[in-house]
Amino acid sequence: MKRLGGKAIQLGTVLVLSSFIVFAIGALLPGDPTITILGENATVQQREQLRETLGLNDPLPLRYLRWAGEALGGDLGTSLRTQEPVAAILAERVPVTLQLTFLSIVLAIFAGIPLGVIAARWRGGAVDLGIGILGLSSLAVPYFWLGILLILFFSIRLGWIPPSGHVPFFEDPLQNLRLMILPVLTVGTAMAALVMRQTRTAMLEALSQDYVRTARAKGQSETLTVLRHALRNALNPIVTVVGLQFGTLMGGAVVTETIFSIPGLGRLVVDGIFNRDLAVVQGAILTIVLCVVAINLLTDLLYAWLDPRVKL
Amino acid sequence: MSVSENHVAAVRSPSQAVTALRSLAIHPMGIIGATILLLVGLAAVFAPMITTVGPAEIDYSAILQPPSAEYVFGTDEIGRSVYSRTVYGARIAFFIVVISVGLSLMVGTLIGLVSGYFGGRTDIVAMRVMDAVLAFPTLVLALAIVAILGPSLINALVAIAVVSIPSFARLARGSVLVVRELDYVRAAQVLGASRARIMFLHIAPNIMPNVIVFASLTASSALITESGLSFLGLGVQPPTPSWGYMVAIGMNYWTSWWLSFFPGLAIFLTVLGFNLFGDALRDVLDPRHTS
Repeated sequence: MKRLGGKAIQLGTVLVLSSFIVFAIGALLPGDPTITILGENATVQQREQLRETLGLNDPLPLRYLRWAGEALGGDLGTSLRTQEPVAAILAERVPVTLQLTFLSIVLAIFAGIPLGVIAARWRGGAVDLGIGILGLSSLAVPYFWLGILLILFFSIRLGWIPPSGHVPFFEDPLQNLRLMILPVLTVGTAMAALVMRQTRTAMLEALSQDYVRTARAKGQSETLTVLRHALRNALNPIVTVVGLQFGTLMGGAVVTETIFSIPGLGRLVVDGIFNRDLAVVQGAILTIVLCVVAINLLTDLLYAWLDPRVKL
Repeated sequence: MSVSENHVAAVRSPSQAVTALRSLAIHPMGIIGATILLLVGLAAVFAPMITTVGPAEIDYSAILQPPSAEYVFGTDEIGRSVYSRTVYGARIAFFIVVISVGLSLMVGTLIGLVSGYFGGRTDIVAMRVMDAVLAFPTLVLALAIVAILGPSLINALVAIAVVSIPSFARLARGSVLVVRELDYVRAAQVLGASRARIMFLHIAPNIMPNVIVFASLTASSALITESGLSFLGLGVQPPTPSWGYMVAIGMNYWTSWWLSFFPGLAIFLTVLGFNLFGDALRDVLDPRHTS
């Protein structure tokens, strides 16, 4: 319990510090929001008046406190471009990115763990080598290149899947999943490779333990030994890899959403930067950071749950 | 990718360093990685000699031509040689990677040294700030920094350096925590050596193997971030040939697959080279990691 308290304080500090950074990003972004709102032709007085109303002339610490206070209350400002509340835009965008990252994690787990187990079980063989090479290559492929190769092959050459677009899941689940196949492959492949490597290492470690020898000695089937005894104990490091790489996954979502025209958080950040839409950029980055911190916390909790020796 | 905080490499004497180099030479993956890097490096240095047309030379009679004997990687949308641009792109890639990783290595290691050696409040504050920066996905933070500073080669370089600092700081700190308890550091303290002297002359050299291994692994993520920024149009600005930007151009001409394929392949191979070389270096310098 004491560690949990310490963890909470540590998390809180990290959140406050990262909110400084997010605010600073917004405050430092170049461009005059009054031009975006009033257009090029407004007079200096009009601009000055708007700056005063928006509180842009106040000192930075005051602006930070006001921004953070409003953010805590769920008010992230309004988009300078569309005049929509940022919170409302985020509510539309977040589920899209979460679906993309969630499906990528599912892919990583369902491809990475079996491949890792197979590589470890037949260590040193041709299969192990093949899986190893596949893993190394997957880790070196930049997201955007993989995405483009997938489009070139599956959409342009074979014409199986449209190259881009997005349909909300609840509107047409089948079409949604069809359009998600390529983006999920793009984001999930590198993660699958990491999970595979981690599984292999952890399995090799577990398979050399006494309890595995005991299980084999008492005549238990090999499949059961590998899956129940070894894999169960190899799960922890795998959970850690997935959790710690969540941030990378979010980064991958940024480029992937751009390639496949998916209206998610990543696309929102990129578009917001090009449009100089301060509040949108701040809100989107803040949400991404919150997700990363939340997933890290979840990873710690899951770790303790999986391994009774770890106490929070 | 994982930061092995507590593993302090055991290179202490020259003979051990020689042994390490020798075992690197028989590490097959390391050799492949080093060869790839050497080839890309040579291409960067001798770019004018191994290309027939310049990276900016326009041939209006050959627009969007597929790979042929004259243009082995084809031509782009304004008739420039994709091969020449890919080869010259290696210069930009290496320049940015080397400088940005060097910068973050220096700043990050310094923060880690101070944080780990002084401990206490300094340590807590420094590490929480690093944690806060680490909560940002690398590319998102790099994007934000470039958006503030404006897109250019130098600003991309700064952004990539900044996002890698926390990892170096944490790695260095972890290594310092182990090294500072060693007898020879204690001895130096007893002899009355100044803190700065102990940090820079006694501790720093001993954590360097770890830092260097990490640097070679960071180089690959630096290259991925750089090309990601250029891909999104916020990195190196055209007409400078940058691999990431070249890949992005291909998205406007889907039937001309060569536009994205070759520069992307260059990124892929270079990243692979850094990863293989870094893994091998780690195996060699850190006996506890040998597989």
